[in-house]
Amino acid sequence: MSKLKKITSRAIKLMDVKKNIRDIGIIAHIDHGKTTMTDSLLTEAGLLSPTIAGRARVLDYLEEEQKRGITIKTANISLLHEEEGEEYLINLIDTPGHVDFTGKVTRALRAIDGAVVVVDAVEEVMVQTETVTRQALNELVKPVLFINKVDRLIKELKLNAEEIQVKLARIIRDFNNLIAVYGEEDQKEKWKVDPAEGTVAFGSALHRWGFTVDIAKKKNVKFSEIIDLYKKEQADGLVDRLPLHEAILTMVVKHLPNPLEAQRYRIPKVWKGEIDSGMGQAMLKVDPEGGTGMVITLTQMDPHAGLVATGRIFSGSVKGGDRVYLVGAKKEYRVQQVAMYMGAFRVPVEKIDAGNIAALLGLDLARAGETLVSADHKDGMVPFESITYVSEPVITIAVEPKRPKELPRLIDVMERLSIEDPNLVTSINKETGEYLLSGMGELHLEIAIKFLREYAGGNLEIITSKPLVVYRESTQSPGAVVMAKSPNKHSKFWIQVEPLDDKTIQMIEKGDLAEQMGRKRMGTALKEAGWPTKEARNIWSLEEHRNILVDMTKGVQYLREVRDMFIAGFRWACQNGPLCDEPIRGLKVKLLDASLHEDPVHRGPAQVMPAARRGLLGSFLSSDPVILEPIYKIGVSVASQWVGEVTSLITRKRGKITASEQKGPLTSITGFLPVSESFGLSADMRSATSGHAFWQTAFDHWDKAPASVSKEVIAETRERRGMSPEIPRASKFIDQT
Amino acid sequence: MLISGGKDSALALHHALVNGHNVKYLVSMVPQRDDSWMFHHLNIHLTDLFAESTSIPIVKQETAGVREEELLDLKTALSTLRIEGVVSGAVASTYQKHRIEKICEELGLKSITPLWNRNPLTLLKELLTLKFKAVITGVFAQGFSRSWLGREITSKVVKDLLDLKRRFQISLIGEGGEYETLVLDAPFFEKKIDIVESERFWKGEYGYLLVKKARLNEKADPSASADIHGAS
Ligand SMILES: Nc1nc2c(ncn2[C@@H]2O[C@H](COP(=O)(O)OP(=O)(O)OP(=O)(O)O)[C@@H](O)[C@H]2O)c(=O)[nH]1
Ligand SMILES: [Mg+2]
Repeated sequence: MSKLKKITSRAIKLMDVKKNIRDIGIIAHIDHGKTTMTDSLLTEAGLLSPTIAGRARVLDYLEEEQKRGITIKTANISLLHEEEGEEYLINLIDTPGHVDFTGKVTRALRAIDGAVVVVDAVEEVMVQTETVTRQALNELVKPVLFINKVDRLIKELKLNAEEIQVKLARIIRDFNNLIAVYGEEDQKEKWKVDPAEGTVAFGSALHRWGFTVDIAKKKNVKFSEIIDLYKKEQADGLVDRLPLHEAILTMVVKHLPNPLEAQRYRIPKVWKGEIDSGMGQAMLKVDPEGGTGMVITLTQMDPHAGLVATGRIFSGSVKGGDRVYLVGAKKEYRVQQVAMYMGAFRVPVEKIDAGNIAALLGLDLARAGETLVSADHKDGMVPFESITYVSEPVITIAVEPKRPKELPRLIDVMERLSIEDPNLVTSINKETGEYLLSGMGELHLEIAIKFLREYAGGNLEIITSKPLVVYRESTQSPGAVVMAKSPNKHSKFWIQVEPLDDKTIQMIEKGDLAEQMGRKRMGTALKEAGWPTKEARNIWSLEEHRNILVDMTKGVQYLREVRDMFIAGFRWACQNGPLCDEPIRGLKVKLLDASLHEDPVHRGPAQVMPAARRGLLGSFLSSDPVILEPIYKIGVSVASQWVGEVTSLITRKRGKITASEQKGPLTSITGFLPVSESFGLSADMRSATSGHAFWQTAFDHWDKAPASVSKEVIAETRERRGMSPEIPRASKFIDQT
Repeated sequence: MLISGGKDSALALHHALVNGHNVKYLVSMVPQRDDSWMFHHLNIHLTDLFAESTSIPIVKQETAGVREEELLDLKTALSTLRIEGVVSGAVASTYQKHRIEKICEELGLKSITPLWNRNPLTLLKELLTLKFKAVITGVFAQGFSRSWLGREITSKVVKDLLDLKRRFQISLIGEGGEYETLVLDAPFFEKKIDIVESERFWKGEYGYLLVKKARLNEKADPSASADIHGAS
């Protein structure tokens, strides 16, 4: 601990020297060696004894992580590094590689400016390498490449120098392809990596050596020599000649941007306020004297300290006692304590400056994505752009305590968990009184249950259902124009739904269209996307399941006053579709006309909301509603002799193969697989390939379910929810004259 | 006195009587449509019993129930009577109050609104203390369910209404047409109304209780009361 204190007090001194700060993350596909590599970085700082580095995986400090050998949370740590006589402060975040935890990577990316992308030399660029790199590029986080596990190429695959060259070149090519495809216009060329420039390092995290071309030249080491050393079992000395931390940290310091450089282009991307305003300029320039602007990227509930909110300070500074304001929660707080995370430890400090990552205590309503501003700058503060996730919670389980009287306790810990993990959705099924937990995949939910028990003190027994797939309701053709009356019959609304076009849905998924942009900016974006001006300009609401409400009325009296109520009814209807109570997705809902009672008493929410819902559902049912099922993207890496088995397994499960590429002795197969067919895939895959396949699935998209499947889904879901077997008719929701 | 048979007009009548007004007629508008902007329509046929039990003559006027035309019908009805003023049960709806005031002005009558601007919760409590017996005969807003139909207004019901007000911002006394009531007994009733036969209709988001048969009984006679929950 004293070592940690020493480093933090040194770090605080360095916080002033913005050009010597790096905020970085380690991102990769699962198991490619992020945490192992980070071990090496800790040794230089003296935070870890070299004798256990590479095996300790210090940042996997949760019991569950050590037990499973995978990272399941993000971990922050700050390091000092000396390079050419200057001291640097490196704020580092280790991230999980398992696809179920992608959301945590997404949030971490908002806090950092650069990333070391780790790629396993044997497996090469994989599905999740692509996912995290794409997201980094989208957040304007600059990547460098570390090709890890080179020892395996030599020892396991027994490749010669030439073959290794080919493999490494392919990885670099594939990686640069990702940058070319997903990079933003300004960066797609500039950010390509190149060994000659020092933006690629090679090595073995397990054996703690690594180099860049530059280092190899300086130290006069050749690849063939490394191969020889391994063959002669003399590779142990490599760690002293080519220490991995030197290669990585030199690459980080030289090629990843400092906050001064990064915030200049990142702020306009993540914050759409007026750049010439005081806050805009302060954040652009990382001004420690300006108003404080900070984005929260991580929240944890500490049983003793309460909520701990961690995030990146873009401008100003934070110290204990400061008055700050949360823009989303609309609440002012006094900061109780400021701290830095050093792995598992939170070290209290007096003050943290712009350009760094800070942990704050005392802001109980802070959530990931929240915008924090100093209280005296709160007026008109524009929030940061929302954090958009690539994945959606598509698997659900029902949970209940074994002893019914422990329900309040279960609800309590569920709430805590959903605060810490925004990708875990907890909900109550009103009909059956079931408590539902929805997550990214089976592992996500398994871990969630573990945490629930742990948070409850270990003695809460929880019964869980088997995992269920989450579906969506949607339509493929426009519905009828429908009139719906308020329950008291005094107000009428004419409503029509139609499918929302794919392009608009994509804009929402990419974060290019979000409700917080405001009506004007949404209008501009939609006009550019080809929407008729009249519709583009009148977006009333954008609901979380990609449904849009458009006001197409002309001069309806009092409409303005019922607007929010109508929106609430629209959202309500979208939450629970009429087919089987699953959310509706991808609908454009048009309010065409309305006639309202002139007395406000007669047109309250209890009148307007049900009418909005009726009209929406009526028109939806009169269209041609369909069930959408979630589809995984699947990537399999398998020795070439098993390709046939894998392919037929995937096809048998209603999957599709989209590509198959031979990479050395392995073949990488990619394709799509309905989530509902993925249960039990492990066992099937194991028996089909005798356990030789490595594979991973990640949510990719929603697709119309085949008729037979959708019929079954509707019937089963309705039964489970205690609904009558028949789907209601449209006429039930439509009023005549 | 404009009456619908519901609790507001009954309470207004009570105040009018207590304040010493000479209530000469009960005027009941009978709309032909179910979405009248001004007047209650449910069980409006029961105003006959209401009148009988108060011994005040009733004047019934049919109305098409179409927006502004309703007012003309009301005006026609009032213009035939020899009266000085009109009592109504408006509480918070300026719409209703203004319409009536306008007609009164045109006819040179005084508009009397004893309940105007009074706190809805106090009004409900007053109904309870004065031992009005009012049952809910229709619910037309989000939050209500079938089981509300036929409930007598008790302190429990008031609590439930408060809950709905909090959740859905309904008007506590149902002035936005959220619910309708039928008064079966009031301090000024000489006899009470007993429902003999009724039927509940539920339409998904709203519903009503249609009273098919009702009669007057002596107030002290307990044997004649029928269980209105039983019918459906
Ligand atoms: N042979 C070899 N094995 C390695 C190397 N680096 C890591 N490993 C092993 O790969 C496995 C995964 O390493 P981790 O560091 O946990 O990988 P990670 O990327 O952090 O994994 P997640 O965080 O779960 O995505 C461990 O068994 C490591 O010992 C390497 O350079 N060579
Ligand atoms: Mg890890």
